[in-house]
Amino acid sequence: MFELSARPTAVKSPGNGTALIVLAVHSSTPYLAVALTEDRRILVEKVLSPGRRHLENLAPTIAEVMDRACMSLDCVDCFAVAKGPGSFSGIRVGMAVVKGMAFALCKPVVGISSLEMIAWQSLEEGRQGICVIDAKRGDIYAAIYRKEGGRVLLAEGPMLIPPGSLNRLIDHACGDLKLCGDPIVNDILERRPHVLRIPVPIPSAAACALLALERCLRGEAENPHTLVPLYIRRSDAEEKKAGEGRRKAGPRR
Amino acid sequence: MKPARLYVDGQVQFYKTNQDCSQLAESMTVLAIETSCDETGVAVVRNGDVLSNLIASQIQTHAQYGGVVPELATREHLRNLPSLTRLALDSANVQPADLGLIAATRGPGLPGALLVGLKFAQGFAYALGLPFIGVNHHEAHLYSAWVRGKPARAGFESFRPNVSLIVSGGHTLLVHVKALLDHRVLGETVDDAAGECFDKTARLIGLSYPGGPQLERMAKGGNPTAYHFPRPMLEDDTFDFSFSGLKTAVAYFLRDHPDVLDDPEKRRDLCASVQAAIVDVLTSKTVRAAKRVGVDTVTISGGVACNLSLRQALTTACQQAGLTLRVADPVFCTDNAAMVGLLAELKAAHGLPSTDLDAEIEPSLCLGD
Repeated sequence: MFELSARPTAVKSPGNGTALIVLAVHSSTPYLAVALTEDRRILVEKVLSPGRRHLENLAPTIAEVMDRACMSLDCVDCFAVAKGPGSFSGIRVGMAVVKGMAFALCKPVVGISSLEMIAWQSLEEGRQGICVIDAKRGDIYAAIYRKEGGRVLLAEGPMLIPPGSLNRLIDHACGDLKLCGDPIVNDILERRPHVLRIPVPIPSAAACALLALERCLRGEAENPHTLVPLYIRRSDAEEKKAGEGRRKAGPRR
Repeated sequence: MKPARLYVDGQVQFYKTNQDCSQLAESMTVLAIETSCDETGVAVVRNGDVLSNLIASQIQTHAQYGGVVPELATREHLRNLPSLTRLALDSANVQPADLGLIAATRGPGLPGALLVGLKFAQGFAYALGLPFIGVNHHEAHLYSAWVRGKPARAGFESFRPNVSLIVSGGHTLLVHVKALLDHRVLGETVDDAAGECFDKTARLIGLSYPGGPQLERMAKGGNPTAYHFPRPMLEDDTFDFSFSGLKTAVAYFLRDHPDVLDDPEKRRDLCASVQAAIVDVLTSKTVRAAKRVGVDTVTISGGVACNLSLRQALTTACQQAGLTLRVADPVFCTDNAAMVGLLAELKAAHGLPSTDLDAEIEPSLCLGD
């Protein structure tokens, strides 16, 4: 909607003697997680169980994390946020708060796919896996990642599909594929008992922070204007209008 | 101004309840966010002056669906907010570090839309260690008619106790504003809002979204007495409104006279007659309320207050009743963030407490709350 020149979002470059501090928010799942890292060290991580007011608790939880690290928010070099897919409201609350903080402090932001975090947490070097998040209404969000040289690389997706469509992905894959992610991975593809399943029950904001750090170091940080959520699923109104049925993945916005 | 210190004796300060804003009242610059429905608003105000007031309209997004789609509105707000905030600050020539207070609409409105604006504002306030005030959208409308001039300024020094009519697509309210920040709701709609009635009847007549302004355009040159439609609750002794019956009456009328839609002149007459019915009720009840509570001033705000026919009818009725009418400028009639900022500033100046930074949205917030 607006053409804006990006504000300078300088990040301390590695090797200048200053550690990079990243604050990450992961609220795209029913949990709420906030982590603070300094270079590759996790300083504080706090995870709140699903609860009625968990989205309202985001600002106090951030404050608590900063407090425990005895730091003020202006020490943060880069903000990271789980950009989805997942709960629409959760994604937006995390992103709105992070955009507000980053804008106010003129700091860069990095959005990390919730699927990529699962890959980073559960894949071994040289292996690949299908990362899965429950999309409700009988569908799942899925993407195939491969870990190489310590980095997770997206091989296919992300997409919104019924769990049965995973069969095609597994059949077409070269080599073994693990099924990682939401505990839902234990309940799908019952006819393929040999597929290794790695449930990741609790989301990690630290994974979000450490992945964001790598992005920052590669000069891939964004600013609050350019950061966009990864909804994958379109709004019901768009689905209805497009008349394509809700099982097709929409354009990323 | 340096951002406020985050730590005092090792304690986090920001979410302490009831932070006193009164010491900030002088020369305080306010950043205000409004996202209660389908317009993203960001404004910067200082000492009653509106330094910038920007609105990103989403009409085109929603037009293809024939009405506001909450999920799309929410997505648009999140996309627009940083850019619009940057533009609002730049056009006011203000840096984040110059700000003294952050304000946002807390309700009423669409839950998702409110959530994005509120959380963005809370993140902003927390990062700078600034107080935050969550504002009732309706209460902000009560004061939009006092904002005048170019550049716009809130003329609260000439404030008079008044009866205020807030009339929009979502709400129809009559409020007795006894003094600044002191009000009592006299009546409100028991079903559809007046603007909703405009939109729904416009749809029945076959006009495209947004129907209200289209209906007004069609009504020009039409005969408002060509067809008679009910004036719901006009003779009722309360100050409540009801507009759903009028919509039904139009539906029955069109069932019995389908030919009206094929004749451009009859169509114009129909639009003018529907508009006259709505305007009649709003005007009569507002003037009666002003006389009943004994004020000499009437104000009107909200999207439907842009309707010229309503403005003219109220002007005439107020003149006859010896009342002064203050109509909000069109830019302050529709949803805007300037009114949110001005109300927050007013509250801070009166020493009212700030809102907690973990405050929830209140989609059904009432003016009495």
